[in-house]
Amino acid sequence: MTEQKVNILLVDDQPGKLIAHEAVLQELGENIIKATSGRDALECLLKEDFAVILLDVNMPGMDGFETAELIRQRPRFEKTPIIFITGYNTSDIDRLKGYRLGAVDYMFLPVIAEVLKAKVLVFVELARQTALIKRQAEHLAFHNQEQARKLEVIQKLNEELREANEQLETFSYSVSHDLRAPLRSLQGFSEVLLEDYADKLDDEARLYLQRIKSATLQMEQLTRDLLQYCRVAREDMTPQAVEVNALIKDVMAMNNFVLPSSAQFVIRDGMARVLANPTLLSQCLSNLLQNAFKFATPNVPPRVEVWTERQASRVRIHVQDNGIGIDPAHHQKIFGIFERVGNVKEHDGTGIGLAIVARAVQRMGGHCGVDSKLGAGSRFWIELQSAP
Amino acid sequence: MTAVPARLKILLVEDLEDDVFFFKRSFKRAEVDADLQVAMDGAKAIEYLSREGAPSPSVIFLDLKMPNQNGFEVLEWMRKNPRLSKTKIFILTSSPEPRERELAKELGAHDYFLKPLSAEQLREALDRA
Repeated sequence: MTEQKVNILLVDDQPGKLIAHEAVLQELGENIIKATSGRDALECLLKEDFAVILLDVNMPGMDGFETAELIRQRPRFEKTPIIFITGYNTSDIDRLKGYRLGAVDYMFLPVIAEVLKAKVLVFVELARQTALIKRQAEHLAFHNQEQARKLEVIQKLNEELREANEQLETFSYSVSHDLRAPLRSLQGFSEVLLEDYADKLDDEARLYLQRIKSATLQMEQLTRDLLQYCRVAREDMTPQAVEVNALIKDVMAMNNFVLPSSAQFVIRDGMARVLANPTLLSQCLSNLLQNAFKFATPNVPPRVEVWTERQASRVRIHVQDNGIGIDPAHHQKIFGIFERVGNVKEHDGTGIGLAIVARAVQRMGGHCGVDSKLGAGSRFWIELQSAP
Repeated sequence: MTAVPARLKILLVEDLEDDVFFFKRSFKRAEVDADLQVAMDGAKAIEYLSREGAPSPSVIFLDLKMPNQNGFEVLEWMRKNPRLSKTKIFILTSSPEPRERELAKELGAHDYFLKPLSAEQLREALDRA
């Protein structure tokens, strides 16, 4: 972009002086506008902005000082630099008057070309800089406005998304809840048929009923897990100091895991405390322990070990098993909802358990993950803020 | 043993017919010596219990999700009623919500069961009553 030319106003009643000054200033390559009287100058000011005004003091009719006074009355020209041009005979009093009127400089006749050029150039540069800053400020203001507008749109969209999510949660929650009553009837009556009418049914009919019953059981687990998943979003997130050791003992007591007598469960000494929502953390640990026992290696006594590891201000809770392990290619996937890997038929499940863990841990401001290889057991971990 | 213990009186407050059916079935299978009354919702339960000369049940099984008056409201009413001060109140619900479990305990329920209640669970619960 070529720089815009600025305007210079020369005011003098003597055409000769005007032409002489113009000749000197032309080398600057800016627009030069000439006025032959104060009135003429004021008219020019109506049309344009000027970088600097060179104003002759001694003019018939309206002199330089009067002209300057009128110029200064207009807010638009309050700060336009004025250089008075005057003879050597100007008294100091006149000069003071000129400064009071806002003159920025004085030049005495005869004007020296180089000095005139140098002084005007300063104001030309100043005008150019001022214009640039003004443009940038406008640009910035526009940009800021644009940003503010965009931010508003984003905030509105976020709010809408939050509401939609909330509605979805509420919806899933009620659906899961309300599904349970008819499901219980299905399950209960197929059980009644199997138990009370077994002798009136042939083998095939009993088999079909058995299949209805297992399907309802599966669906029962599914609705229960979905309720848990929805609950994660509904829980109050004020973190509390939680004793991991005690929590795990509660979880084990509540779960009634059906374990072979050869199964081993070890909680290491010196378990740390973490900042968490106790309901959510016990849900997470319950799901991890269930998996640890469920995916046991066939014909190997299951061994599950739990310990905590301090890392600066954070604590990792590890749940290690000697089960079938997970292919590293699936490590990301298993934390998604409805994801199940490996031999699904052998291990019943809904594919929600680890999604609940991931979501709950995220809501508590932590991380979770897994270290595992096929056939080499799994170590799941949850990392949370440590509690004082 | 000289005194013959009074027969246990059970009240089930449940609005779903199927759930009443399953409860009665478990009750029959548990083979306990007790009388079973059923109120088909909370309002009916309150009406029954407020009746002049109505016997106070030893055990109440109370559903939570019911029309008109939910189980929590009925539970509060029961715990304020001096005639039921010796009655054990067990919640029998389909809701596995820990919050509801806690609230029920706070309001004075003695235990919290998830539907369906098996014959063994029923027998065990009545043993405690």
